[in-house]
Amino acid sequence: MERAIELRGVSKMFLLKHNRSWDLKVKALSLFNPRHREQVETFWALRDVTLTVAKGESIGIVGPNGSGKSTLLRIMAGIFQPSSGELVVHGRVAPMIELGVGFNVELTGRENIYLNASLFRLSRRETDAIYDRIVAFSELEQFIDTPVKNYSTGMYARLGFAVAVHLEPEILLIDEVLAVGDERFQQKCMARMEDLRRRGTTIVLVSHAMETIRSMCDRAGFLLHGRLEAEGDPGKVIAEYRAALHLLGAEAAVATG
Amino acid sequence: MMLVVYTIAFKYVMRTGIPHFTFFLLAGLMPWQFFAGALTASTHAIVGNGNLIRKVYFPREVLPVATVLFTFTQFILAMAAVLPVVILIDGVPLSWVALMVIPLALVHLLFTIGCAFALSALTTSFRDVSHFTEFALMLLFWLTPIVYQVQMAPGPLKVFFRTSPLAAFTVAYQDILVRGVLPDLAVGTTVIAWAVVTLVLGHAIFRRRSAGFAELV
Repeated sequence: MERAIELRGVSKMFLLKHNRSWDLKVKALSLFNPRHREQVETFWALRDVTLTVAKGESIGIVGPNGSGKSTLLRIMAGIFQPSSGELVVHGRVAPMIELGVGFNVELTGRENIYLNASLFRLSRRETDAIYDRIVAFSELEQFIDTPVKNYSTGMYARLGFAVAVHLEPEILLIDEVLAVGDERFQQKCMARMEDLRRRGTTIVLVSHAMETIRSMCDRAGFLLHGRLEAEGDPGKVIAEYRAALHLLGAEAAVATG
Repeated sequence: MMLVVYTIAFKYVMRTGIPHFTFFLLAGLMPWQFFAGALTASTHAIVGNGNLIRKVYFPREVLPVATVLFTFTQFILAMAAVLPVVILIDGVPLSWVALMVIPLALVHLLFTIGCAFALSALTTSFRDVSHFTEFALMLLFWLTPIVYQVQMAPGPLKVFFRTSPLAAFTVAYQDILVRGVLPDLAVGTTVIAWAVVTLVLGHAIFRRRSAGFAELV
């Protein structure tokens, strides 16, 4: 089996600094005055996650809010460095975890396509080659020379998705993709994702939409409090996730009740 | 603007008696404005692009370098626009040595990028670095022979000038543009040595800290 992403015992710790000072001035004062001293608390966003994603596989990550899903994606993208453990990535990762990020709202749709492509290290000529397909997919021909700040939320997201899926990454990381556009456009997105899958793109998808995970993914992982609680067949993992949610809900009810 | 005010202040009010004062001032002031502008902007290069850094992976070096290059372009354009006018009015004979301003500006660019690496990285941890930078630049302006000549400074300041990279760059610009001579070996070495050291050191600082940028901005 050819591997695309290997995580070995990856943990990520954040320092929660209460009374965190961003000033050199206050920092200097705190040497003399304990009132200014910061208190540091550690928070483990990910604990000992070991996961291998095969080439061409698509894997879904589920979990409640704050369970570490986005942190996991950011580590895969190289935005965060793991605190411990090891990450090996084989292939070109789409370096963005959110659609339309890196757009400059003052620029037009056309300019933003080139800007976004350059973040992906595509040359101008390479972008020229896919430009028409991106515009056609986004259905924004009419507005492509309008500054993005005048776009509606849906238009913005459509352009973001269109760029992301046409850059032909070997590994695509997506956080909550299907908040995009109306139903018809969503179906178009799904079709495009299927298309990428068939052509061997490795996909890591974070979503709260269980249906999407079930239909799109070969495998799923369930994160809870930063631990990978379950991994395997999407149906089974989702069932486990739901069971855990119920349990959490019951605990919360007891705690507040 | 600054050029006009300083010319009036130092040429007519204080009567410093520096020959071709406007041109002399221009040769020192415009590179300084590039340097100061680039550093001030560079303190925001990383912090001001927090959203991008938290969500996209790309070589973080792009941000400070782009900031400096932007200011550098403005500097070159301003020089190209103002230089001929001042030469015409002031009637300074320009020699071929003036062409040496191109390699000098490039070395100056590298030096500035080095400083920008360090400052942009430090601002992620300490936001008031940007205030300190502005303040330090204001002090350094008067400690650099821009509106006066090195020879006019008292002894202790001259010693400082011998090591200060900012003084060395200024003197080099003045030598090449105003006096039409190549800078002497000491100035040349100082300029190049500082550029190399700053670039290497600045990048090392930047490299060490850049892994944590996403968590700090």
